[in-house]
Amino acid sequence: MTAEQTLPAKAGAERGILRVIRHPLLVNGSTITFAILILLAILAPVITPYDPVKVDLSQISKPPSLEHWFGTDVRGMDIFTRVLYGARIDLTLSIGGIMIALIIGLVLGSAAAYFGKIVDDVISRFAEMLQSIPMFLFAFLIVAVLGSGGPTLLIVIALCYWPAFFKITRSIAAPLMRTDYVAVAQTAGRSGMGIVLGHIAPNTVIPVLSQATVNIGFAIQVIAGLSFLGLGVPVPEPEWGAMISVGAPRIAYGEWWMAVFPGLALLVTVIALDGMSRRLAKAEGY
Amino acid sequence: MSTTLSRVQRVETVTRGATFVLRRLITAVITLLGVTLIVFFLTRGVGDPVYILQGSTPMTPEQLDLLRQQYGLDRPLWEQYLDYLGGLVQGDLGTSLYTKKPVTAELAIYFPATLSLSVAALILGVIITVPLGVASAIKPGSFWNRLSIGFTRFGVAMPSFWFGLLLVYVFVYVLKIAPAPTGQLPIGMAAPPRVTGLIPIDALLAGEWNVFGAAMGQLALPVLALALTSFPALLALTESVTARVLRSDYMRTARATGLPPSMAYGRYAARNIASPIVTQIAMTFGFLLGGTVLVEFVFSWPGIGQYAVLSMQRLDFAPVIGIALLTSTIYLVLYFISDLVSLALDPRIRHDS
Amino acid sequence: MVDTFLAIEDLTVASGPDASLRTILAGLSLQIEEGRRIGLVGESGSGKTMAAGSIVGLLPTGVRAVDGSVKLDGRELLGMTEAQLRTVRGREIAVIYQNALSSLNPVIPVGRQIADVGRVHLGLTKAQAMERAVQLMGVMGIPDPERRALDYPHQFSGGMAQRVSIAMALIAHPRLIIADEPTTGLDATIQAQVLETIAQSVAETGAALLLISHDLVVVESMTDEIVVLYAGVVLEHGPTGEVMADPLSPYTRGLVASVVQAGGQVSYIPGRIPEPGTVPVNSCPFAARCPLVTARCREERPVLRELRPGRRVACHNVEA
Repeated sequence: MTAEQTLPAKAGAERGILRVIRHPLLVNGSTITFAILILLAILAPVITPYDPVKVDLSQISKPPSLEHWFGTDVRGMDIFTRVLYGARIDLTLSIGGIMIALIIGLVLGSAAAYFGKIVDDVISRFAEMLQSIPMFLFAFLIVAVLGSGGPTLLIVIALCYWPAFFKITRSIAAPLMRTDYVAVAQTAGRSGMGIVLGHIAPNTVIPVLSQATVNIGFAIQVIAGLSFLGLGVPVPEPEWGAMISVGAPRIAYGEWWMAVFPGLALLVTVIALDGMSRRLAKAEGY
Repeated sequence: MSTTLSRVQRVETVTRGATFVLRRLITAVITLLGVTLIVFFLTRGVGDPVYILQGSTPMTPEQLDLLRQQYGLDRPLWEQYLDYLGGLVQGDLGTSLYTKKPVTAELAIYFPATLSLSVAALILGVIITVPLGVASAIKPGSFWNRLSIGFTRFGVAMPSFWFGLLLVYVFVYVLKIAPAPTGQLPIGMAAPPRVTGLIPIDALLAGEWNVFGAAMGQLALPVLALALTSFPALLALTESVTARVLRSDYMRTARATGLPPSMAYGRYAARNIASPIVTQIAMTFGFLLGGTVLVEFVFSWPGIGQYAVLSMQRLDFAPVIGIALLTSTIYLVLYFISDLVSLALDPRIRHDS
Repeated sequence: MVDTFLAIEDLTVASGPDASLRTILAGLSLQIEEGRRIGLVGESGSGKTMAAGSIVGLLPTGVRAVDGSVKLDGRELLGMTEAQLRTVRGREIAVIYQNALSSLNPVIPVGRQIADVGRVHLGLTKAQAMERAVQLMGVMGIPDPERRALDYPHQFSGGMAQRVSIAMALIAHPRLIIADEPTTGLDATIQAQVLETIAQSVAETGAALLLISHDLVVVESMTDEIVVLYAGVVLEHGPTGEVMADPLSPYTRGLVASVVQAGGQVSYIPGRIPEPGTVPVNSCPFAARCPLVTARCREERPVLRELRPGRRVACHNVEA
């Protein structure tokens, strides 16, 4: 028996969540940035003096100033306020969608690894087929069937990203199935579900978390992109992509702030998520 | 003394290669069929698809029934699928509700624009990222290394449509050195006689230098936007492959046996780096052809991406379905081609049974 | 009387920044004569691989020779430029590494790889070099060498691949072959075959051999002279037969005892080898695990002295 076969799976949760929390270096610039973003999103109603959707014709198209840090848009709405409220929308939808994708991927990935052969083949092929369709076109098809709006976006994200979680779960779980470690558990009478939960799942926690973090970033880009095209969150909502689509025509008039600030928020958020994901990946030694 | 492959060896290699190709081809075809199945059921099997076909025109129940009959929606699903498949094989992608023309014909008109954009982006992207990736791997901690990391982090996070807008703002309106985003050519300029459908090439073929220059100018910003946002993956791959090869045991042997750098880096290292990179370039091209939606929209580029968006906005879904199928097919074809390339460049694949 | 062509004097290898060097090899001195077979023995981490690498300037980044000299025919190798070293590597001094399968380029036919070394150093044409390569492969005991020369490394077994490496090392008629753990990881029977091949090659070409291994049995059968390294320090140096039969250093004694005896008794040395840079300069590195340790061992590092003719030991507590 090789060292590789006997070492990888440490018992239970020790390998998973506790190791993540215990890691002192987990906090880096990206985690802090993201934490601040979440905080700002949550505290939005408290910090911002303006109403994000109330039209104020007296304040139309004002450039950034002391009263309006990010300026106002064509309907007089304060952009800073809208960006913060937009964080709520984008973060909720993306995190929600990825959570669903994660669950689907985890379940299917474990099933594929555990049952092997045909089950594995069929699901893998299916995932491959889905991934052959360019993402935005696939999203278009779903929007075509379900209509635009928030709930559809959740489904779009879930359907676009479950294959990624499926693949990573399967790639970790499948080799583990063949280890002596698992065989011992099986002879000790542990059932399939028990083995999956107790022995395999903990090993997937960090890689899956790392994948989830970076995918949340990508999901936000998809949500923003679809909303930008008018196919996602509808325009009066302060979603970042929607805000950019409203601000885009104003660029020709020199009113840059309407499109720039939401985009900046997008950029910063995704960079932070990517950074967090890398930190997590390093913790696992990837 | 002969140092060429014996006949037996040659037959062996060819057979193994042919088996590999055949298996990959079958996989590709099955995947494609699966995609058509998925697309079909997505658009026909969910709810009453007549509403999708109806699009934005309000109809009476009788009209809807007529529509159902016309599209064969009252027949069993499997029959519908086979009909659909039959139509696909013949190149029938349905009809656009908006323009009333066959989708296939429309795509033929719009596709060359996407092709020019993608090819130009591919060329620029490869020229920038491959040398950068190699340079970055050769000297960790160097300027190139840090540039590469920055490019990757930024490029991955950058929303392509926002970046496009930014480029327009800075270069068209502030610096005034780029032409306005009005599509493939400036307004008022006539297109060159159509030979390939690719405007810059057609302009060159016709000797119309000013048209060529203008076309390149129009390409500049959208290509830049695409390059930054679609190439981080290739950069990361180039860097990691180059680093892995340079640090490998066999490169250590190349040094230990005193091979000159030209040979060591030229043949010994390069051949190992080439295969994964070429494969990734093929995949990136496939990704580009299907992923220009946002950039085309921002720059009013008349390609299939913009066509898809406009169709969606018009609730005209047949073209969208057609584009989804077209781009998936292209992607799978490129995937297959990249498999062929791996076969040619990596002897290990040739000998796997 | 054969001449010494490679003189290693007080070779010291270390890693890390100048301010805080971690010594990996602390002063190795060795005279290598034509045709001489020398074994460098030690546990992993003893510095033996670095010793070999530093002779031809093949050290990992951050590791360098910080003191001493390595003179080939009177020319100093340490500090030579890469271009200069390239005339030595593969030509005068060849290296055979441990994992043959990963040490060969996966996308180039093996015959070509051997031939390339010949072309570079001997100025042969492509055809001549290939012919020579095929010939050598045959001599190495690779069946059907003409056909096999066109095969790729992954089509060879570990033992066969190692023979390819040996052929690559021999093609330019080197005067010294450094074999770094050439048989570690191979099956016992294959090990014996590969060692046999190396022994024959060395005997037939008259090249000197520097065999690096942790395996005393391998070194015993293949060498005339043995150097025992521990944590970068030479603890014993003498003719192989004598050292193995009557080890003077307590470390060597422990090593010899830990080789499985005919009677099945196995002993081992408790403890672990210290990391580079953790051994104080004024202490014997083996002090922590030595059965004969005294207070002096921790205050004064023993110097290598010739206790008997040809037998050098570094220990305070051994007498001739």
